[in-house]
Formats: sequence, structure tokens, C-alpha cells
Amino acid sequence: MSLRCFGWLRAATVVLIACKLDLANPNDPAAGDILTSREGIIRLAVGLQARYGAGMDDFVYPGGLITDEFGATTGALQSYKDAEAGTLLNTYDAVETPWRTHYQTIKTANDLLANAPSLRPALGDSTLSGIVTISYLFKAMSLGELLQLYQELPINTYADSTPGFVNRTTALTHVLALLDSALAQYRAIRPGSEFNTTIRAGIPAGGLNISNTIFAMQARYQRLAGDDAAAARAADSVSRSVLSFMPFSDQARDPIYDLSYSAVYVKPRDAWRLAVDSVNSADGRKAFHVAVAAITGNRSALDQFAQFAATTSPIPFYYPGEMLLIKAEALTNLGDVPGARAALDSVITKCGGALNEPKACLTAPDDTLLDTPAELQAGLIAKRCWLLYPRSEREPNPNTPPDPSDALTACF
Amino acid sequence: MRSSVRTLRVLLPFLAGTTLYAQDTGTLRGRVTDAATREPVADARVAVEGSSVATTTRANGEYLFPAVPAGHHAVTARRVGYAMARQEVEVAAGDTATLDLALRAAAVALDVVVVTGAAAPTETRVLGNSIATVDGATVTQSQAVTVDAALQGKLAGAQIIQNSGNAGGGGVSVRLRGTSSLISGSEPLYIVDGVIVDNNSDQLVDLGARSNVQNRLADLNPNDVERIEVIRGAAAAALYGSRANNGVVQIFTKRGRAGAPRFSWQTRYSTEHLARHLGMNLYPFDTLGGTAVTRYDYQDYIFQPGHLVDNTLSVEGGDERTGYYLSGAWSDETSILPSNSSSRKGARLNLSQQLYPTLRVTLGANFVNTHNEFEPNGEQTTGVITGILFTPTTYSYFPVNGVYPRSPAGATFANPLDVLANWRAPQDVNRFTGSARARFTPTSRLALEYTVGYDGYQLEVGQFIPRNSLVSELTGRSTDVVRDSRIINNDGVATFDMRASDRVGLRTSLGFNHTWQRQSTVTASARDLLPGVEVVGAGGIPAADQRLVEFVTLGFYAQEAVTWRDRLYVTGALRWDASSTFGPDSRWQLYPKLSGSYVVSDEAWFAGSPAGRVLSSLRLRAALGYAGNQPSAANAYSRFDNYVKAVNSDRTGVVNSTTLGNPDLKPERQREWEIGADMGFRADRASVEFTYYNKLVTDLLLFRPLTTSTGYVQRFENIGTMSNKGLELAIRSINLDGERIRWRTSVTYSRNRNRIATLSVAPFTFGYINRVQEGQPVGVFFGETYRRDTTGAIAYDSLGRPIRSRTSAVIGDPNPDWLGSILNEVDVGRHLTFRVLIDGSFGGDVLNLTRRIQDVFGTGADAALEAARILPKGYLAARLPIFEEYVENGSFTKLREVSLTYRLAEPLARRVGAKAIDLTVAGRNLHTWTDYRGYDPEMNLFGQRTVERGNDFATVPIPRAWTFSARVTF
Repeated sequence: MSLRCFGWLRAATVVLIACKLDLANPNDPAAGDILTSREGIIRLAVGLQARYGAGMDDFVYPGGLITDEFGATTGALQSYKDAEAGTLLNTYDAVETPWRTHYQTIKTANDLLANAPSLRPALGDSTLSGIVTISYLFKAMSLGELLQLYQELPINTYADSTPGFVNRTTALTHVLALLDSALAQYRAIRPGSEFNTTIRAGIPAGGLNISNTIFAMQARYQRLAGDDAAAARAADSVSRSVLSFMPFSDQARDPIYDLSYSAVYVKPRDAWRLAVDSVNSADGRKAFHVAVAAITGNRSALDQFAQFAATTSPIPFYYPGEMLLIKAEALTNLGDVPGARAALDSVITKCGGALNEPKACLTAPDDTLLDTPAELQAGLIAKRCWLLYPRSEREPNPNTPPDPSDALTACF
Repeated sequence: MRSSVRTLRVLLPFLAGTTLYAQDTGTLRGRVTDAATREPVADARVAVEGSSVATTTRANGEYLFPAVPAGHHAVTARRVGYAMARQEVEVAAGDTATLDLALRAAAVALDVVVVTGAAAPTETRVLGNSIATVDGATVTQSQAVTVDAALQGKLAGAQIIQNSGNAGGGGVSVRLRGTSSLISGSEPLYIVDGVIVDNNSDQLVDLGARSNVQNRLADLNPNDVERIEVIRGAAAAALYGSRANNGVVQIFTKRGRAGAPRFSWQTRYSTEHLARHLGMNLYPFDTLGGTAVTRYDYQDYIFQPGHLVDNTLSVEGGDERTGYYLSGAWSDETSILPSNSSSRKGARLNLSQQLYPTLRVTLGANFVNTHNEFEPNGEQTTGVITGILFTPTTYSYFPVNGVYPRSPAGATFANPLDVLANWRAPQDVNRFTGSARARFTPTSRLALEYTVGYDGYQLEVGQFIPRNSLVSELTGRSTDVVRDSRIINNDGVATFDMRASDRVGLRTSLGFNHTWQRQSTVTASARDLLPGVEVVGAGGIPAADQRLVEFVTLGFYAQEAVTWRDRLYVTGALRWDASSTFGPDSRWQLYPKLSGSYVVSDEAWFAGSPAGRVLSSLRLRAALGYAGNQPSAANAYSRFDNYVKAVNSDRTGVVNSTTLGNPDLKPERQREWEIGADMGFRADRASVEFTYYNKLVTDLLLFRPLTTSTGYVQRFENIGTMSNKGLELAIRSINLDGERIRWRTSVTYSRNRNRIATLSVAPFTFGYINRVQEGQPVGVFFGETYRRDTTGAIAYDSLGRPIRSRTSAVIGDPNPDWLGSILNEVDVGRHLTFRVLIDGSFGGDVLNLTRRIQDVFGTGADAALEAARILPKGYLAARLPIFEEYVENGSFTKLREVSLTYRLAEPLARRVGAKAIDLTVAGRNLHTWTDYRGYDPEMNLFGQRTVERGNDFATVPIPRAWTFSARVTF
């Protein structure tokens, strides 16, 4: 191309026309290549799930460190050790990355929701429906995780460089609306085989189970929103015999493995779920989550994550047992104590079966176990209620609210 | 192509009408000698005034013009280091005239002809800007491994740092008149014989994270260099447009002087030695009153004397029409680290031919193969020097039953002895640089010159980590990266000289430059290696990657130089420039320049004036110019909104890049003005060149953080301004100039003040604690301070340990206040030359991260004091977060070059069949006077990086070198 510029007379006379100055980026596709083509939209739908998967550690470890579920290693960066102590700066990874990565997932979901429908003829109805469904679902899941970590958050962030913030109630309503949209789309047109075999996360089989995940998220966020009847209904809709998970491979590694085994920053505490350990050592759930290793940590002895010990370890979106706990809590609130008790008993007595999930495998129901929801891996905030707003948001966005107080007032 | 031929046919009759023809010509010959020693002067440029007829003298000082138009002519002879000689001669048609010229040594260099930044060969007296020239002899006398290192201490306004003591040059960074960019590179533009050459220092595999162990200028053989011209800022470099913010270094290689074939063999042998030991913790007990322990100082095991062998064989010759220079070179260096080596083999052919009286063609071709063996160092956890600092000195790294124990420091740390013995990081460069130039002078007034240059290389870099050596790479890892780099430049310039009246001369230049650059990098790597094999194919888990970058820069310029009475010169130029890096709306930029020069001493009244009584010559100059800077290859496509790969379920997906595209991206733009004076004293036996410059870079490029809830993180934008103001002083003096002894002294002084004038983003930290902050010099150290009491003294706790302040402040500045050098050269008789160069850097700070990491792991001399309880227990741990402790005064004075050359008497040389033999004993970096506590204050972990200056972190120290060399001419 530029070789055309050889021949000096030619170069001197026609150099302006002959030498192309508009060079496209040969390494990365341009926005136009992706957002306006069938293949681009399909790759973007794969990327949506990649992005969510790559950030699945980010909503686990900040809460895990702050609640003493997890501990920092001796070699961890100072910011991880500080997070374990509950003291945070707004530049720390524990504060920055959950926000950044989940809003990136939301950006991709928004890209898809804004551009995929105009390619309906090219994509075909069943592929398009799958793409739209998971766009709603992953956006809802990302916002749902964020609202458990930050007190207020923006919900309309597409093409707005300084989005406004809404409170948790509004955010929850928005998350539930997104889940409703996902379910409506899924029910209206079932995702077809192209979607299921080439787009939906899952190698070689299994992976993301769309309908069950939508129901599970509805149960989780209806409960959080206080609609106990809806939460119990949704929990009941989730199949107990299906595991919905994000698969990983050597090309897209399990981020918890990378954080814990590769970078060696965060590991579960030896005293994890102390109640389980001290009250009933027969409870199979601790062995499911934790491999005893007696590693000296920054503040306490640490063990290894049993479920994330390889680059290819999958991370579940939820465990079926969580649905039973949600149901139990919802029924309790609704006054149905026997129903709640039955749900809890089935958690405690769960034993055997092919599903790779926590199984307490205890013979007799034990009331002291009521406060040990081992199915909820992380997310209880003990040393502080909320994360700070990241500096990367605060500085360019004047709508960022004041940081939440460090006081341990009611978190919810 | 057909259209070019047609155009030529149209042009030829018109041009031929004014061409010089051979009839009515005579021959002019003569000899140029040194006025004091009466020795012949080779390589002097002899020219017939008012024409384009010029040649250079042969080794015996003789010159010949076979066809000079009959008539009365003025002939000039010039040579760097001498005053111009001018004599008149009458040449009769068909006859031979003889004219001998004697050159007198002079310190004033107003008549030196330069090219760089001037559009056409121009005497320095015409230029309004300062320009520095260094001749090839100075380069070889330095005994440096690379050309850029050879310039250390030779130029005012240049901070030249060897970043490490690795073999093959160690990586050199050059700052001309301070830093002019934040992340788009501050290295000057390098041009070799009109070819823009790549000076990249990417290491492509992880040999110390962010260091550069070698920059590609190292591929150039210093023995091939004839002279170097350096222009230091926009005022001089405006004609180079958007690539010239950091100045331009143009290197000219030897062209071959007329005469019979002349063979020259240049050979040298050097030994390199660790200049300074680092203090280690060798306290014989684990603590005071504790148990006895064995401690190791691994410096005794990992360092060894290094060796360098360097040979260049060249032949040159030709006649008045043809000149050739052919050289072959081979060098081999093993550094003070045993598995660290560099060898270079190359050949160069330079050929010039006068095809017609009006057309000269010059060809240059250089092929070089550079092979290096490196190992990781610096902050890299697998580094050799790092390894001995990151482990208690009680730990034995020695192999047990042939197995090297692993580092106790952690999964990613390596045993340094294992690394030296079993790891490999080879680099192989095959590089071809070629140029073709045609100079067409249809009349004595018009010159058309066209240059095509090509610089291409393939750099293959490997890294092999054996199985079971590193816990984090237990199955081993093999990496192979191939970088293919090509630059093609096309430059054309037309120059027309016109005498408007007997007082006014005009020179008009019109030109264009087109540069195309492509860089492809293919990476392959694999884990889970088979034993006994090092290639990527030995691995079971492969990965591959490629990145391709292309740039096009196109520029046009017009320049008008007006001469008034041959003493007042005004030059104005406009450069119109575009780069593919920028969006169409901001792509085309205009870079003007205006300069003036007034040779006051040529005025008749000057000699009688008060100034004339003191000064033998005086020139005043001033220049104003604009130039630009483009983003580096890493940000070449920042104007686009791109999507990047994101894999899920082994399927390739895509997501938006978190860097938002900026279609309005503009080049960094520099405005520079400079004023100065060149003064001659004692009949030009002493000179003072003084320059004050003021540079302002606007539209600095940096990433602006974006609201992260938008799904983006940053955008590459023009975000600030930065100024550099400074003084340059170059003093040259010929103290003695007798037949028996000549003593010359050169002194340089440079002072620069850098300041980030405005910054529209929050302060930003690079590297460890180098900071970009409005109102501060670029890269100041910003970190935690000591807590101090009301008197300002450091506060200690009850146990005598320092207390943290928990507040950060600017605690140092890596930019030196001033640089200086003194070079003395003494010629005794015809046989002995002695030279000493001392240079120094003053007022700059160095962050001693090496000492800090010794504090972390208790391996330093201070840890011995703590173990002996001379320092209280916990003292080192207490000061660890206090970066103020580790910012040290990096001022130094170096005995950079010492050499003694003995020129054998001619009969003696003839006895062994040679025409001349020079024997030299030389030393380089022999001694450093400094308060700095590490190996050497003149190193940088971050190599050529711009903001991250003055970081010392387990970097291979620069050795002390002794050299014996011989130059034999046949």
C-alpha cells in the first residue's frame, strides 16, 4: 500500500493521494464491526458471559475479607490486608474492581440490548431471543451483586458519562424488572440450538441454565426486596436437580483460582463457619468448601478453596440449597413456620446425589444450624456495612454520593 | 513508474541546458596540512566557492578536482577542529593548478557544514539554532560499546544514561533538553545516513518487568561512524514535524575517501569489573548473643570479570568520482554476570558514484546480526541480583546432589545460581539498513535530492524456564517472540540558491518526507515442557498471540533562508505534517520556525569596538520553532473505539475496550525558543557557546480516567502542558598549539528546569513513586515521609525506631539540576595522545529500591547493624513504609574516559607492513565519586521510560572497563 509511494516523481506529485493515512486497527475490531453485524453481536454475547465470569471473584472476596470468611495471605498486597481489617481506601482493588468489572458487564449487556434487535433478520428469532434474555439476566445479576456492596448506585449508565445514583430500593426494583424482562423474553421465544450450542456458556455440557438462574435470582432479590410470597414462589420454581454454573478453561481461567492459588492473595479462613466446625464436625458442607491446609495467614490460619483448586473449576451462579434457605426465610416471614422448618430440614439432611453442591448430610435436624447458611458463600458484611465509592467513579462523576459512614449501623 | 520516466523526459532538456560541461575546464590539485605540525590533514572538505564542486582530502592530505571551470576561484578547506582556510587560485583551461592550504586549529566552529534540520548542507554560521557535532574519532576513543553511550559527557544539553551494566550496551536513554513527554517517549529521533532508524528497547519477554536491557541503536558499529549531528529541540527540528519533539540525532557513516585502497584494522580487548560491592548482612550470629550462622555474600559467586573483544576491518578508497567504504565487524562481550553476553557481527558497504557531472548517487547497506544472552534482573522476582537480595544471607543456594534448592521467598522467586546455570533468554537480531540517495545538480544553483531509506529487522527473543525450577512454573515454560520491524522513508528536497543582489542571497528549499513503519510481534509460548528441549514445541500447553502496528507520517515543508552581506542570516520555514495516528480533523498540523544569526565580528567596526578587543569572533543567534510528538506503538490506535477479545467456554468473544477511543487526538506540540551567542577568544583559540532555551510542550498525552460506571476506564487525551527551561554552555580551548605539544580542553555545562505547568487530570503515579503532578518537575518522588518533631528532626519511638508520618509528600526529584563535563586532550609530539574525560550529574535524586528490598529481607549492611543491636530491633521494619528514607542524593562525578594512545613511528610500522599503527590503553567508568549507597547512581530500572526516572532496583551494575586497542592501517 504505502509501497505505492515509491518512485520519486510519483511520490512528489501524487503523494497526497497515494499514501493512505487512514489506517484501521488491525488488532482489534472497531465498534462498527461488532455492533452492526450478526457475527459481531454473537461474539459480543459470548463476551458478555466472559466478562461476567472473569469478575465473579470480585463480588466474593471483598465481602469475604471484611466478614472474616476469608483471610489475606502474608504475601498479599497491603490493600488486601487492610480490607481484612475493614479499613479501606477508595483506590483499593477490593473497592474498585467489583464496581469496574460489573459495570463493564452491564455496558456489554446494554450494547447487546441496544443493537441486537435491529439485526433480527440476520440473527433469527430464536438466537436473538437467547441473546436478549441473557443480556437482561447478566445485567440484573451484575446490578444485584453491586447493590449488595454499595449503598447507592447508578442504574442508567449507557452513554451517560456522569450517571445519577439511585437508592437500594429503586435499584432492587430495577433488578427485578430486568429479571421479569429476561423471563418474558425466554418464555416468548425459546432460545434455539444455535444459541445453546455456540453462545450459551457451557463446555462441554451444562453451564448456564437460563430459566433456573432467572428463578433463582428472582428468589434472591424478591427476598431482599421483602416480597416474601414472590420469593418463595420463585424459589420453588428452581429445579433442585440442576446446577447452573459458569465454566472456565485454560483460556478463560477461574478468577477465584487466580486470586487464591495463582496470585495467592486470599484464602478461606481456617475458622470459616466456626459454628459448623465447633457444633457439628459431621456437617459435610465445610469439607465441600474448604480443604484444610493450615496456612499461616496475615491475621489468622488459612485453608484452601476446595471448589476452586484448578484453572478450570466452574463457579456456580447459585446452589439449589440456597433456594431452600430463601424459602425458609420467606415462609417464616409469612408466618408459615412448619413450612420453613421443613425447608430447613431438607437442607440439613441433604446427602448423596450426583450434584456437586454442599451437602450437610446430617441425620437429625439441629436447631443450632439455623444460622449457618453455608450455601451463601460470601456477602455478609461484618466490619463495615458498605464499600466506599471507588475513586475512579468519584473523581469524574459529580453525582457520586458522599461515602457511607464506617459505623456498623443496620446494613440492610 | 511509466509516468516518472515521462516526467523525466519532459524535465531533462530543460535541465540539460544549464548543465556544466567538461570543455573549458582545468585541473586543480593540492594538499591540506596542519599549520602547526605540518602534518597532512585527511578528511578535510575542500570546495570551490560559488559552485557545488567539493571533495575531501585523502589520507596524505591531497585533493584533486579534475574539471574545474577555467577562471579565478576561491577555494576553501574545512575540518572539524580547525578554522576554515580560504585561498584564491587561477585555473587555466586544459592546465593543472596547484593550491596548498594550511589549517589552523581553532575552537570556534562557525564554518562547519551541517545538514540536520537545515534542509540542505549549511554552515553553522547560517543557523539560528545551536547544533552539536561529534566526530567519529571521539566516538571510537570513548571505547564505549554503543554509539549513544559514546556521547556521554560530549554534548551540552544531553543527559545520557546507561540504564544497566548488561552486555551489549546495557540500554541507553538520551534526554535532550529535558523530558518532553509523559508516556509517548522522550528519546530523540535517530537518523543514520538519511534513514530513520528504529531505536526500540522493548524486551518482549519478562527480563525485569519494565527495564530495557538493550536499545536497538546498539546494532550500529561505533567504528563505522564518521560524525554525528545533534539538534536538541523544536527550534532546530521543526522540519521533522511530528516526530521531532525530543530532538534529532543524525549519524553519518564513513563514505570512503579518495585514494588507493586503504585497509584499516581496529581491534580491542576489554576487561570489565564490578566497580563496587553492595553492603550485605554478614553478621556471624543470627542476632546479638544468638547462635552462630553461616552467611553468604553471593556477589562473590554471581559476578566475574567480563571480557570484550571487538574487531573491525575496513577498506576504503576511490577517486574523485567514486568513493567506497566497506567494513566487516565482529564483537563479543561477556558481562560481569557470567551468562550475560552480547555478540555482534556486521558488514557495511557505502558507495558513492558521480554518474554524470550533475548526478551523484550514494548507496549504503548495512547488515548486522546481534546475538545476546540475557537473564532476568531488576524488580523481576526471578532476577539474579534480585534473588540474592530477596533471601536471607543465611540461605544456601548451592546445589545439593546436583539439584538447586528453590528460593525460600515464594512461588514466583527463583534461585539465582539456578537461573545463571540453567535458564536461558537468547535474543537474536538480524537487521538490514539500506539507503539510496540521488543528488541532481543541474545548475550550480539548483539541487534536487531524493533519499529512500529502509530499516528492517527481525528480533527473536526466547525465554526458557526449566521444569521444577520455579514453583509458579513447575512444568517449565518456553517462550519465543518474533518482532518484525520495518521503516521505509522517502525524502525529497529541492534547493534553489539565488543571489538577489551583491548583498542579498536567497536559498529556497521545498521538501517532503514520507515514513511508513510496521511492527509485527508474534508470541508463542508453552508450558509443561519435555526434558532436554528448549523450544516452544517441547511444551504441551501452547499459547500464541500477535500484534501488528502500522504508522504513516507524511510531511511537506518550505524554507526560505535569506543572507544579508554574508553576516546576517534569517531563515523561516513551514512544515505541514500528518500522521495516521490522529483523526482526520486534527491530523494535519502546521509547524513553523523562524531563526536569525548575526556574525557581528564580520562587521568592519567590530575589531575596533570594546567587544572586539576581547573577542576574536562573535555571533548572536535566536530561533523559534514548533515540533510535535506522536504516541508510541502501544497507543497507535487510540483514536478508535475498539472491541477486544474475551473468551468464554473456549469460544472467542468480544467486549468493548475499557479505553474509549478519542477521534480528536492531536500530537503533543512543542514550542521552543532559544537565544545564544558563539564567542571566540584569543584568535579563536578559545570559544564559548552559550544558549538559553525555553520549551513549552502543550497537548501532553495521557490517559484521562473516565467514570467507571460507563464501562470504560480511561481515554487517551491531550491533558496538559510541560515546560523545560535551561542553559547550555560549551567552552573549548586550545591551550597549547605548538609543533611539539597540543593541549585542548572542552567543558560543557547544562542546566534544565522541568515543570508540569498544567495538568487537567488528578496527579498520577508511575512505576513505584514517580509522580506526574501539576507544578512539579516530571517524575518527582512522592511518598511517605518521616514524622518529625518541631525542630524538624526525625521522631523516634521509645525503642529508638523511626515513626511513620502516614502522610505523603514530594520527597525527591530524579531530574538533575545540572550536568557538566571536562575533557582534556594532549598530543605530545607526533606519537602520544592522552585524554581524560570527567563528567557528572548534580542535584538529582535516586530511589534506592535495592536498599529498601534489603531492608525487607534483612540482607543489607543495615540488617547486620540491627542483628548486632546497634540499631534497635524492628528498626528496618519501622522505616520500610517511609520512602523518604530511600530517596538518596544521586549526584555523581565519573572518571568516564582515560586513554593513552601511542602512534608508532612510520618506519617501525612499515617494518610490519603497515602504514600506521596506533596502540591505545584506555579505561572507562574507572571511578565514581558519589554519596549514593547503591551500586551506581547512574542506572534506571525503567530503562528509557519517561516519567519513571532514577529508580535503582537490583539492576546489573555498570562495570569498570579497561581496554587495550590497536588500529592498524595498511
